[in-house]
Amino acid sequence: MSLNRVKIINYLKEYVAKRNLKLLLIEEVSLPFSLTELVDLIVKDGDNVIFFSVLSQRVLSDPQLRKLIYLEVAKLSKLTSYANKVYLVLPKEYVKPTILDGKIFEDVGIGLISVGVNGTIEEVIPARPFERVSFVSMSKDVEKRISALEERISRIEKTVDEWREEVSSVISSIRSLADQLTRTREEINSIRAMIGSAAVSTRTEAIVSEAEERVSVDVGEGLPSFVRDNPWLIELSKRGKGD
Amino acid sequence: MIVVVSLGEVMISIEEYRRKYAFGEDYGTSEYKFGPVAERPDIIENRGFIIDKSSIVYRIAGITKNIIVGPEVSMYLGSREDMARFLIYPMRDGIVSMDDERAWNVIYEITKYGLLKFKPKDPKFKGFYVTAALSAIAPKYMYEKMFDIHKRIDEEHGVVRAVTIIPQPLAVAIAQKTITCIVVESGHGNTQITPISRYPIRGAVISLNRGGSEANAITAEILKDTGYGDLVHEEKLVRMVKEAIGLIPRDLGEAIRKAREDRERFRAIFKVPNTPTIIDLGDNSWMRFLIGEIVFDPENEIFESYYKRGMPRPKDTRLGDEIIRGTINLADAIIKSAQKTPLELQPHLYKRIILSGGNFAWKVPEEFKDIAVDAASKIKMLLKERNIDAVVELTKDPMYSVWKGCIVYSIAVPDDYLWSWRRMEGWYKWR
Repeated sequence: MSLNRVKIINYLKEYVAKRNLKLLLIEEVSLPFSLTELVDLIVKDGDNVIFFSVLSQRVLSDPQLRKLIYLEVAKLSKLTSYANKVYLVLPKEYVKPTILDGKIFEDVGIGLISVGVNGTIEEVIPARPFERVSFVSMSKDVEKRISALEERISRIEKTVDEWREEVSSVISSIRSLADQLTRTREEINSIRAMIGSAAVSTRTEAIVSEAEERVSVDVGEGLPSFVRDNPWLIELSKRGKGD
Repeated sequence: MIVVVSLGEVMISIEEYRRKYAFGEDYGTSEYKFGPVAERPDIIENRGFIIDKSSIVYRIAGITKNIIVGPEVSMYLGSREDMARFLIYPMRDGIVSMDDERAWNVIYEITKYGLLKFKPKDPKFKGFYVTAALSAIAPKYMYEKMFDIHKRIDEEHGVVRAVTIIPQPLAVAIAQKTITCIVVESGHGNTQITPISRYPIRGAVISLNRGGSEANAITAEILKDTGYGDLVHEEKLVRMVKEAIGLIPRDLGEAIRKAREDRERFRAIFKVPNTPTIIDLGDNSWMRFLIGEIVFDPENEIFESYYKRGMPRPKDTRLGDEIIRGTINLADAIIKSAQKTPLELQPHLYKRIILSGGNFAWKVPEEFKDIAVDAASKIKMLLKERNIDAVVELTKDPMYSVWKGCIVYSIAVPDDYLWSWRRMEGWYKWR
């Protein structure tokens, strides 16, 4: 049985309640609108504000999950100015070396919490405490502008990603065109050579040495070396003619 | 334009259309080589990636194809589990099972990929003359399926004017410019001996159930015996060890004696690339000669103890009414095959024995030339021991020789020579 997001959040709430920590609403913390979707649960522990972000996906392969978790940690790093601690919460089945690299969490300072199917919660990697920037004095106008800027940045990031994909597809098309060009060049050269040899002699000759079963068939420069002088040309051309 | 070639009184003409639109296809177990007239073919791996319709990639990327083939496949590979589930290698020892629908779908996609890659824009283009090469032991249903696939692709894209299928050994003989010969093709799991005299002599074809895999198996046993048993599960590693230390002995008894006398000279050491692991056979380095010997004479009594300990013994095979032992000495198998041909043809066949396939690509290091030999010399010696003077050679261009033979076949066979199931030759047409 796998855990869905709602179950994980419910288990987290129970965990928080048992420790007498206070749950906060999103409106009670200073957080730009564009980042609110990253946070699933906010808790106050004394003066500290702690963010929890839950990741639970349909069944994916380990490399896909690994990539997804990296992206999530990268996104969560944006929250470190607004909370004292930030945790990524994952189903326990994701906590294995083929998926997770603890060093990335430590480098970014994001903590990791695992949730078992029976609701057991474990702090796998502690979060590094951050200095929360005080936004109390920040005017609503500034907050609005920052939020707009962040939205703009995220749109630009999206556009860059789209362009990156486009560019890589253009590069692969160019490679394939280059291959075709090389072939065309070779073909042109061989046609040129063929025209040259046809001008000199319209009739080519073949010499057979029956003792060696070797045939010398000169068919000009137009055909590759393995076709020229090949006794099978004559042998195969006789197929169906009286055999 | 027609190029006329005269041969005494025989004249052949090669149509310009055929020069331009002859097409060769070599369906190897691991690679598919294809292309029109050129010095070399294009190559892709003979495999396809089945797209999982429930996958995120399928839903997000808007993929419309069910099977991916060609260089694109590597972009879809994920975990090992994905590879095992979705990556299909359609052939096993050159054969596709009759009812393996997924495998046949991969063959269809690969064939389509090859033909469409070279589809010209020339308005005079009416389709390629395609010669496809299959294993000499390919059953009749494979021929039928292959014809159906080409017909279907032509109906969809108009790229096949006519198609024919030839056995790979015949293609090798054509590429080697040899009309009368015996082609011995040895791949990973199978060795085919095919006498050819203008036509493949189908009643004399022997297919042995052994190949490079036997040399791999003995290498794995040697590694186990010398304390490297933990490495034998990596098939690729075992193959690398085989290729690095395996030698074909001129005479096995003599080679073992010399290797035991002069242990340092014959010491087999292999450093596994990009790892700190070093394999050192030490005093057992004489065993390196067993790796080469088993390809030619798995019946040697020295291998009995390995068979008893569980190393698979090659399965027996059938030639007409006769049962041929899987472990038969390769020279004896060649003789048995030749004996199925007319008596007066046999000396001509022995004049040219052509070895092709990866299982004959053995190196002979300069310092061991007194004791080790290449595959051609080994077979020549084994035949000599049986009072047969033979000329044995390795294919000059083992990678491309089958494809080259297909191109010559496509160029030369007359357009009006139509397919006959009795002769198993000719152009198969539908329009």
